[in-house]
Amino acid sequence: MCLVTARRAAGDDRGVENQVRSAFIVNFVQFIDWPEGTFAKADDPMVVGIVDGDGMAQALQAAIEGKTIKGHKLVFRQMTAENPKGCQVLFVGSGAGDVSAIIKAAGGGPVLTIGEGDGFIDAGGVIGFYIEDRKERFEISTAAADRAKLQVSSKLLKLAKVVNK
Amino acid sequence: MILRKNWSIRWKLTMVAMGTTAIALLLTVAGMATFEFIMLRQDLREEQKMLAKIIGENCTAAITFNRADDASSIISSLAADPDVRATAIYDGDGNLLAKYLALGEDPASLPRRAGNPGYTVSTRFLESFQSIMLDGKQVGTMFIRNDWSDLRGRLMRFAWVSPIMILLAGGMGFVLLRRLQRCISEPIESLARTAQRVAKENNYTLRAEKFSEDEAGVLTDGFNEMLEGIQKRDLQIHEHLVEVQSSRDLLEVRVAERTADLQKLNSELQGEMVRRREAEAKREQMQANLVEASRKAGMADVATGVLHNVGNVLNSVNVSAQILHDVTKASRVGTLAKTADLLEQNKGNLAAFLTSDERGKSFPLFLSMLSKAMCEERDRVLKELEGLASSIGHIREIVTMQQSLARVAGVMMEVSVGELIEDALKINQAGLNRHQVKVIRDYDAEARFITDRHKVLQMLINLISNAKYAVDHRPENREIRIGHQAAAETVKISVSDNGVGIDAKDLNRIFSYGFTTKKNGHGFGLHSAALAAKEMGGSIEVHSEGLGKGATFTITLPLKQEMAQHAA
Repeated sequence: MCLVTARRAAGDDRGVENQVRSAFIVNFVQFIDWPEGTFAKADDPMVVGIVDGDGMAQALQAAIEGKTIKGHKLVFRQMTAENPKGCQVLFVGSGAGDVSAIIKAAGGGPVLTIGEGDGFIDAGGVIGFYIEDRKERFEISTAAADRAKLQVSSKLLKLAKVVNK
Repeated sequence: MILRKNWSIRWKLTMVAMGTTAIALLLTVAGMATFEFIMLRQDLREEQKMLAKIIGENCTAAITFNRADDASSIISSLAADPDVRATAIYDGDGNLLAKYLALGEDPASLPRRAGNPGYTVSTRFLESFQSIMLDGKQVGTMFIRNDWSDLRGRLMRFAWVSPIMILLAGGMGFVLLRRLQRCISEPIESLARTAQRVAKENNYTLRAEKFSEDEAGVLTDGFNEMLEGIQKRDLQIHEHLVEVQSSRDLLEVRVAERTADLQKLNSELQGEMVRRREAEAKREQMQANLVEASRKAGMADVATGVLHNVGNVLNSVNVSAQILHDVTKASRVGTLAKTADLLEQNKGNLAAFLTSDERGKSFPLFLSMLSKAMCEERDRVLKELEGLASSIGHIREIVTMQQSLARVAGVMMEVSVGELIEDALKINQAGLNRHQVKVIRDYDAEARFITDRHKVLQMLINLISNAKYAVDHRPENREIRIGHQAAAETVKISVSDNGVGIDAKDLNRIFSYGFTTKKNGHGFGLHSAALAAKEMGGSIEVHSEGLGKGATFTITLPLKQEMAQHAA
């Protein structure tokens, strides 16, 4: 797994950023437990969906290509804002539109909603990316995680800005 | 043997116990030390592994998200363990992500890149690279360096202290052993002492003290039983000896008695034997005497015969000697000597003496008469000498004959009658001749028979001699007749004479011992002749008409085997 800490630069930087975030997403899965019953079988695939914006889909697809986390093969699915249901991991790009609506729409089941920007957590997302000191950071909403019935490892929490909303 | 043979049981036991204990302890200590050492290492490894796992796991997120600070803060918690000298986290690519170094550690000593999982042990440190796993995959590597010199030091101290402890323990053990081993060695020592005493004093009444019920006790029991047995046997032997002794004494007495008996018997036997031997000797002596006497008688006869015959001849010798003496004495040699002197006196004028002297003139005639007389002398001497020689030769014959006869006395041999008679006559020859006795031979000269030649000869000599004496009285016509008659089983030889004869009253006594009619007779001759005849199984008989009528003596001998006259 190649981890690159890159400084943000225009255009190119965005690509790098997407790559890093995609890698992070894959890593998140390592440190989060979905509740019992999420998967019918132990080796059922884990659907990683994206309601996109901005080239993240390719990066994400590339990142999860061939990976199996905790026995679940990661499967990419392009979702729409209207129908974001059916995945365990959902990335909602900032250009996707009404984030909270999407989150609500996707909700109910245990979905790890990941997004970017300040308002994502407010909108009800679990993990939100942000940049600090030119480094990729993320914040985690324990409330949202609880609502989604997701168990987030303390190890991950330690690395994140924990938000209790 | 490691243990010396002549060490006491006590010492051996002590040595064995101490030795084995020491070895066991040393082995234990060594084993434990080694074990501890290995365990220590193992523990440290485990610890590191554990640490790596725990810390590493805590770091997985930091590693995954490449958060060096977070990783650093996590591993810095290891500062709590003073033995952890350095730790480092490497990312999935093996690059150093975070590190922790205890005070005094050299940063440069930290590995720059992650190594392969594994342990490195050095005198001071135990280092290892441990994989950090996430979801079954290695996401990073952790490096840990532990300082274990303290622990090692502790182990070493243990290794040093142990021998001292062992020695102390051994010392105490020794002291304890001295007491405890007694329960083994004491029974044995006691037994040994008892055995020695028994052997030295030869005292089988002693018994060994029994201390325990173990094998020593068994030994003691056995020993005591043996002593018991020996004692009993000694007693038995003693009793037997007493019995044997008394038996032997009795036996000795008996033997002495028997010996005395035997000795008495022996001496009796000896006496008896001596007596017998004496008797035997006496008998032998008597027999010898008899034989000797008879021999002597025979010899006397022979001697008598010889002497008689020799005596006869000696008479002639004597006479001849006398004659020779007379003749020689009367020899004319003296006259010759005188004549020679006369010639000598007149040798100056011999011619004149011979022609003119009276005496001289008659010399030739004188000499011729002298020579004639001397020749006569010589002839006479010669004649006498011849007779003398003949007589002496006769004597020698007689003696020789007796000698030869004496040698073959008692031997039965075949003789010819003729020879026998002639021999007998020869011996009496001189006497017969002198007394001018005519011998008429009337026997078969060829006849032969087996007999004791000597005896018969003696008899014949005797008879002939007697006959010679008998006829002596006759002035003339003295005759002896020798006759011979052979019958179927006997031989008769008779000697007859025409002499004085024998008086009828003497006929019975004539063969008696000591009877003689001769002036110088002994009376042996006829007696021994009669004896001899009887010895040979025959007899002598006498027949005479009376005094002056002559007599005939007849020897009758049994015929063993008479050869035919002309047989070979």
